Amino acid sequence: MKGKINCLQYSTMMIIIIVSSFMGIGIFSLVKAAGVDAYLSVLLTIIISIPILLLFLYIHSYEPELSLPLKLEKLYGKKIGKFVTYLCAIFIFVFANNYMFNLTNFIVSQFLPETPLMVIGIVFSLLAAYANMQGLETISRVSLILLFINLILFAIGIFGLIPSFELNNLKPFLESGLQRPFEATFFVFTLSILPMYSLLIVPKNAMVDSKRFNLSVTLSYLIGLFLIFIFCVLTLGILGIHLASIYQYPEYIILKHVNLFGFLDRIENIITATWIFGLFFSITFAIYYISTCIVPTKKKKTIPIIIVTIMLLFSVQLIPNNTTFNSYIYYVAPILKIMYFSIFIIIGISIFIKKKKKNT
Amino acid sequence: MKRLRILIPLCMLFLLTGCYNYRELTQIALTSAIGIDKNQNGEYVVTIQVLNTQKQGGDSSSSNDVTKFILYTSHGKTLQEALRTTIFNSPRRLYLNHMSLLLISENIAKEGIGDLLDFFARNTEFRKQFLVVVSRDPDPSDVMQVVTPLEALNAQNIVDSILSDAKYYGMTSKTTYEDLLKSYINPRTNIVLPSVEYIGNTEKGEGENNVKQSKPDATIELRPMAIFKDDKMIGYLTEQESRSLNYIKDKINNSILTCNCNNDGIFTAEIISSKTKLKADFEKKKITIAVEAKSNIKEINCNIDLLNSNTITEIEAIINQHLEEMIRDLIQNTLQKYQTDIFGFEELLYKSKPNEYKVLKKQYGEELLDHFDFEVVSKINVQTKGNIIKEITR
Amino acid sequence: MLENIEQIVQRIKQETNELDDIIYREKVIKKKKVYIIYNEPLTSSDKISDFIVRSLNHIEQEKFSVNTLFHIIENDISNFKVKKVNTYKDICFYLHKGFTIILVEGCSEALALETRANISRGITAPDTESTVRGAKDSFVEDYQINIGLIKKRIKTNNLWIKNLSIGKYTATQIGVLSIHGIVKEELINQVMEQLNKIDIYGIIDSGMIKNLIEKETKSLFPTVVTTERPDVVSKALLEGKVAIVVDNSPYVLIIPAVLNDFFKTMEDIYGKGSNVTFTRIVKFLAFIIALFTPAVYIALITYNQEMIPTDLLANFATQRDGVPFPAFFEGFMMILSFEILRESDLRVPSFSGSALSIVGALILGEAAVNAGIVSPIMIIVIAITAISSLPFTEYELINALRWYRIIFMLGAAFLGIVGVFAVTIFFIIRMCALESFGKPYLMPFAPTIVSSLKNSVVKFPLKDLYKRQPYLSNNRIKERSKQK
Repeated sequence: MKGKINCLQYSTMMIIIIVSSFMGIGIFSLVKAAGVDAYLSVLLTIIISIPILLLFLYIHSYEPELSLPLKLEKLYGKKIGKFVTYLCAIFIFVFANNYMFNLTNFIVSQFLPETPLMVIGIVFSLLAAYANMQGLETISRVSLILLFINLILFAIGIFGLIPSFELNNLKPFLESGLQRPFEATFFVFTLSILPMYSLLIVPKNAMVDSKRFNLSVTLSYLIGLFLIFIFCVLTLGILGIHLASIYQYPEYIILKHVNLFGFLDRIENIITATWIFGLFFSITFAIYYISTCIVPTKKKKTIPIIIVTIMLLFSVQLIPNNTTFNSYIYYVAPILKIMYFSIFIIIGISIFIKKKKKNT
Repeated sequence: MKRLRILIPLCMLFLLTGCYNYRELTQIALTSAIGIDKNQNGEYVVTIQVLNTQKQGGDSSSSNDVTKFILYTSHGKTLQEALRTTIFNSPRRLYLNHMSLLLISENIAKEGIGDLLDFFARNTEFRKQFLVVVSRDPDPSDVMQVVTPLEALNAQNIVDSILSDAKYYGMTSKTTYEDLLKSYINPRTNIVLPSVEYIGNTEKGEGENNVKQSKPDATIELRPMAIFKDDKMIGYLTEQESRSLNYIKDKINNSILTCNCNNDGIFTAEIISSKTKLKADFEKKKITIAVEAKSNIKEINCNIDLLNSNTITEIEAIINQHLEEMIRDLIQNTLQKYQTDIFGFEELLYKSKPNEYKVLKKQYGEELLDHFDFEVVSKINVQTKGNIIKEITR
Repeated sequence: MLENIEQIVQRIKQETNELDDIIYREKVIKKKKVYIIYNEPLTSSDKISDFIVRSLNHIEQEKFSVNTLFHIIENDISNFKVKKVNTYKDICFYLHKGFTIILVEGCSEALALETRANISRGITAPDTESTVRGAKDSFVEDYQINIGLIKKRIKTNNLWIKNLSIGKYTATQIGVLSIHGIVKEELINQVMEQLNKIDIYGIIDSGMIKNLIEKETKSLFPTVVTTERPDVVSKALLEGKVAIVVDNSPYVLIIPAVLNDFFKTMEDIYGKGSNVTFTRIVKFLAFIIALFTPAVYIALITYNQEMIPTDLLANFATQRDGVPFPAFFEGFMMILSFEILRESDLRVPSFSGSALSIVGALILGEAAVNAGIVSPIMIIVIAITAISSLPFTEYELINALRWYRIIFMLGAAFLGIVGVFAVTIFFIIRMCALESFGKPYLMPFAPTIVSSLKNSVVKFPLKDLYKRQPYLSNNRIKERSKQK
């Protein structure tokens, strides 16, 4: 594992995962929970979630040579360690299904209404499996290129949207006090910060320049949340709270307002590539996580395909429609994520205890 | 060989499953405008304007013989039903993404447009950036069938004239479907829509002959705004009121203002870079409308000596007064006559102090704005730009 | 074992089936039998008669003892490349290489004297990589000249050449060039390992070597640069790359090659940084246009019509009206006919070239549109694509682009713009997974090497480019760095 990727690649993976986990479902939940102050809750999350970032770094610093499954084995012994590893993998599998459904459903509802979800699912999951067969180095390079493309498209989007942005739409400021945005931070936290924990699968010392690791993780945490913040501000500032709360994908609808230099409009489909690329990468990394949990050391060839097949069956076949998905995202997914997070709190505590024991 | 074993099933997968949404340009009918009306049975009557994309013969001179657009009419209980059943008349499926205009007939507007909105918002095929216009004629297809000069496509003609009016005069404003939806959903704002009317001979206007003469038999004229309460149209503003409304809503870009001189005669000033600020004062129960703009004197038909700096101040005062009166009249008229808040004053109150607004709203209900005073402050700065410095006299 | 020279001559005769081309001249010098054997087509008879025969005659007149005869010949004919040969295999080897073999009775060694005829063409200007500025010489089919052209430019002891000969029948001489102290040892070892693995009947051109040593055989993109310009090779060597010179081939291979290398030309070194940056951006855009244009066009007019402005769409629709084929087949047909045209243009003798262009321009363009087989916009799209794939010197790159263009078109035909995105992801994965001799193919971009980005899409002034790329060399600071 040593010296395979560098911190920049790790950061890009993190940013993509943070941002794309939020797309498509985030603003829906945020607006529902916080109203006009949704964008404030993103800012609040940056501050509130710092302990979570610290826990992430803390777990990373324990046995930095080893990836998460091996770390857990070292911490809890072989049997319990394996159990916890598989438990995490199952959670990630469930979350990956969200990405998959989100991706396919978005594409089908906005681009290809007559195409079955399954076809889109097969195309993108095969690509994800293919990326996995090439190994972590390729995945990380892909993330770098994808983020680069995404940032360019994102910049085009922002420049095109500024003319239709109305500051007035963001008013009234804190209508019902801090309480609602404060509560809504929960959604940002569960939707986009917790998926970041899947990155624990790549050990710290796999980085060529692991000295800069903490800094780059913190920076990418900030950049990722800042991008989400811009999304929220733009969505609310252009659509206003009333429209933002009726659309299924308000972040997509605002892209229809993009107009550059008076002639470059109707490019929302191109800018949506950011979305598709991001969700694709999240799926890819989830598959990498799961396959590494199952086979920690060897190169994976067939496991990604198997995982992808099961995932397709689960996400596309089991979720009957969008309403179910939305209520799942709003009511069930947060509970699952909290359960997932508590695993890591326990891991953090056990590491702390173990270190203390060693010292005394 | 190993790769082939993977590739062949993949290709099969694509070949067998792809192409669900495949539609060639020759299979779709590009819709440019939709007009909606209701018939006696309560069914929607939908007029659809479709671009004629048939290839014309190689001879360029003959291309004028083919019409630029075709109208289809169909009806149904819902809009979707009506639109789908155009397939009975048209060989191609409607493609709605490039629609640029929605015409609503006066009748439907008076009955309420709330039911129309859902269809356009829900359907992913619409872009939601098309303009919405009220047609003063009973049948919107009358307007849609006029072949217009300069801009051959009728819908684009209306859109362009609204845009240029909004840019250079300010009687109407560009109201997209999304703006409409926004002000409909928001309980504190009301809808205003521009309106158009058919001018001229109904029978003669529809043919290509209309554009072959230098004075067309029929044209489409832009008319002042229609105002709504909830989803029902309750009347039209006058031309001047319509402009005043745009001053309040800060939608004036460039406009003109004709005022009386102190002595006999009139003059016209051009208003540029106008900016309106609204301010709410809860304690004094007062809403201040502050218009700030620059102005050029474009035409003078009275005795004004522009070389004198005092006269500039005088002119400024005249213009300011005129504008203030215009706006004050509009506010009073609409609030008294129609009892509808088309200006977004309630939204302003809500946005500046949401909690106090709620208290007041509970207290006064519908008559909230009657308890408020309106102060209009206009601050127009006259620049004397022009070729001549003296009036023309004998 | 070489003492019995009659036996050797007999053996050669027997093995070559009494080939007339091989000339055996028997001579008796100081009562010792001497054989002069040479391969007539390969040797220059002038050299043989002028020098060898005359020298031998001269020796006979002098008073020397027979035993030292051999040494005298060796010393006397010193103006030639003289090699001592002591096995039968080597005799044959040099014989077929155009050397003249002198066998002396009773001697355990034979002499091989270089008398090769000059059957190589002169140095000409490069055909396939023309530049506006820069050296105008190019490699020829002769190994020695090629090496000379490089050595002329790099005058150091550190230019190391490892020789081998590959091919059972051709015994082609192959030189692996590198500059010691700059190049990474592991790269050389990797290359040598690949070369030593080769077991083949013969090598005709460096292209075969290229195919045999490329690890990524599945990849469409080239992982080796082929060039006919000695200045390109010298520059690459100085950067820490390895060059492979193959006898009989005017093309030299440079290893490793990452994608960015194919965007660089020799002029880039000479030009001002900002101007070079512009041309490079143009090239990158051309690369993207060449890949995407037909696919995006097909996606737009068959799936995502909402992306085309209304006026343009009305135009497209009017022009497509009456074209009976689906857009994909229309595009595919045009691409196919363009490729046929290009391929014929390469092969056709130059005197009928103009006929081809008339056919191409008139029949495929004007007439096809008038006949309603293709729409005029498709012609424009294909034309833009075609010219965009031409600013690259590497033929393999153009061919790779061709394949991916069709894959992109397929994606667009099946899922519209989403299909294009999916193929884009596939393309990115392929490119990221690709490695050229252990070096990631998208090297300065992914993984990002900040110092190398200075000479990627943008080019900084030459003064600032004092660092070698870390993946190529451990000796990173170029020697002129300190002058500022």
